[in-house]
Amino acid sequence: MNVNRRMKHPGSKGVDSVSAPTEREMIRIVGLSKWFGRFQVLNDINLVVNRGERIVICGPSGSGKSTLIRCINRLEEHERGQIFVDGTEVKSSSKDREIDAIRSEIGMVFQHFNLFPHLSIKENCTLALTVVRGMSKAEADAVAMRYLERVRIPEQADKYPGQLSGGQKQRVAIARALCMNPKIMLFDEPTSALDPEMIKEVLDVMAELAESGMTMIVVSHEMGFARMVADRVIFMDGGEIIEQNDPETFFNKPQSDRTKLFLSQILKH
Amino acid sequence: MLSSLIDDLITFAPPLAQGAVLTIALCLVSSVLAVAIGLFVCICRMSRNRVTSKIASIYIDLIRGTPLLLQLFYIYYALPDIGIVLPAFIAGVMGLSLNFGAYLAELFRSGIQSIEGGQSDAGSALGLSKWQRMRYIVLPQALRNIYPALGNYALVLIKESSLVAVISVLELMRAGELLASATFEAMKVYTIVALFYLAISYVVAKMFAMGETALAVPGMWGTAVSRDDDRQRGQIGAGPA
Ligand SMILES: Nc1ncnc2c1ncn2[C@@H]1O[C@H](COP(=O)(O)OP(=O)(O)OP(=O)(O)O)[C@@H](O)[C@H]1O
Ligand SMILES: [Mg+2]
Repeated sequence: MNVNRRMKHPGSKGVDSVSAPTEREMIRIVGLSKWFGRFQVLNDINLVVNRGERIVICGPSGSGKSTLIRCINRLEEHERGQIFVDGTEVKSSSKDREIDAIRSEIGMVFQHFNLFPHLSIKENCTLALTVVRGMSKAEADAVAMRYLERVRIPEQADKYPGQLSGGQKQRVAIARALCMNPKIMLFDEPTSALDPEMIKEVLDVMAELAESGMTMIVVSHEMGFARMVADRVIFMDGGEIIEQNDPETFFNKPQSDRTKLFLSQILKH
Repeated sequence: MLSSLIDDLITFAPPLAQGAVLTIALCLVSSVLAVAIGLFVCICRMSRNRVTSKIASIYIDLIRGTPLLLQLFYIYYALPDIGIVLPAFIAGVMGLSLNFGAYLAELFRSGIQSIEGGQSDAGSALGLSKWQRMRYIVLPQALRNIYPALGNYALVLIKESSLVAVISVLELMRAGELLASATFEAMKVYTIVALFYLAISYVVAKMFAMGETALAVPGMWGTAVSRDDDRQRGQIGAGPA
């Protein structure tokens, strides 16, 4: 795979003390904390993601990875701290309409695909284009076919999700998100529900997407993918960012003991 | 033998047919109202507003906890005590639609809740508003999941509509009763009444089967909602059969 590495993230931990988002920043998260009831899932998360940057987040189960990326498009609400997406703050006082608008700019791919089973593959891709973007059916169909070709399943356009394999479903989910021409793509363990032989076809599509310059945050334990595609790997545990670094340093010279333990556990498999 | 059966049909069917027409009218009006009531109560029941939700669930409990026969008596014989006098047909429609509305509200709720959160999440992530998610993602799937149970309720409604005979609505059952006591031909009359009910039920069942084919999506499976719901209805009882 010929992946052009982007610049490495400058520092390692935390954010620069300035809080106003700058032009090259796509996402800025400052002092983010979140609770589920009395249980604190996220604890003072600080993270800046630049335009075109590719980030892989890993960490043990329950460490808050999903919750963190779901806060970015407000599938989860946070209690403390600030989140800026392309300069706009996502906050509790935002109107529903503003949130919907921000969400339409952020693509998300889920572990269990979450395709709409009652809609054909093509309709899965065109629903938001027609309903949210107000496109005509013909225009939307054309966009859908373009992206289905890009993920290499145009021939499945008229089938239904229940008729596809897991790998095909996940590629449709990626196409569906890309149809909205998002600025950011969030992936929540996109390959962990897949049979081993289908993982590659999905990772290949993601790697191509990374090459195209898309800003990506990927929660994944696919360390091969992280090494090859990520600009930065983040390790989370107990709702905190424990360590972040470029993949070389992250895998070869992990700093904290928790990271070392985690890496030794997942590399054993 | 056969000719005598045909003779009986010619004699008894026409007076009963009028009753059948009224039964059909009763069921049509009641089912439309029951769906409307069911949707409304379901929305209230699922509302975030505690009071609204509580009122809806009290309504559901009251209706499901008492027999339909009692509800009909209440509307037709008890309401006049407080000055509300309703024509028998209207009272019958009210009883049936209020009763089935409560069951449908719970059926609709179970249908909506059977759609896993990930579906709505995917809609949200694409920028669909709350109502758009309901309209395009949740409801179409919920309808497919509850559809078999919905057909079941339609058939139950047709048969339970016979209860309004007791509040003097001249529908099929009551027409049969009157004809049987006037002619002393209970066997013949009630057999023909049964044939009418069977015919109406058959047509309705066929219509639902056609609808099911039209809604079918390749590779999409319904959930166990309908089965759960039938069991609930069986336990609490919708009134005497
Ligand atoms: N809706 C919720 N209500 C209550 N607790 C929740 C909820 N969602 C997640 N949690 C809890 O928050 C913690 C973090 O969950 P999260 O899904 O973010 O972890 P994760 O790092 O993505 O884990 P995994 O690798 O298993 O997906 C877990 O302990 C989880 O049980
Ligand atoms: Mg997760």
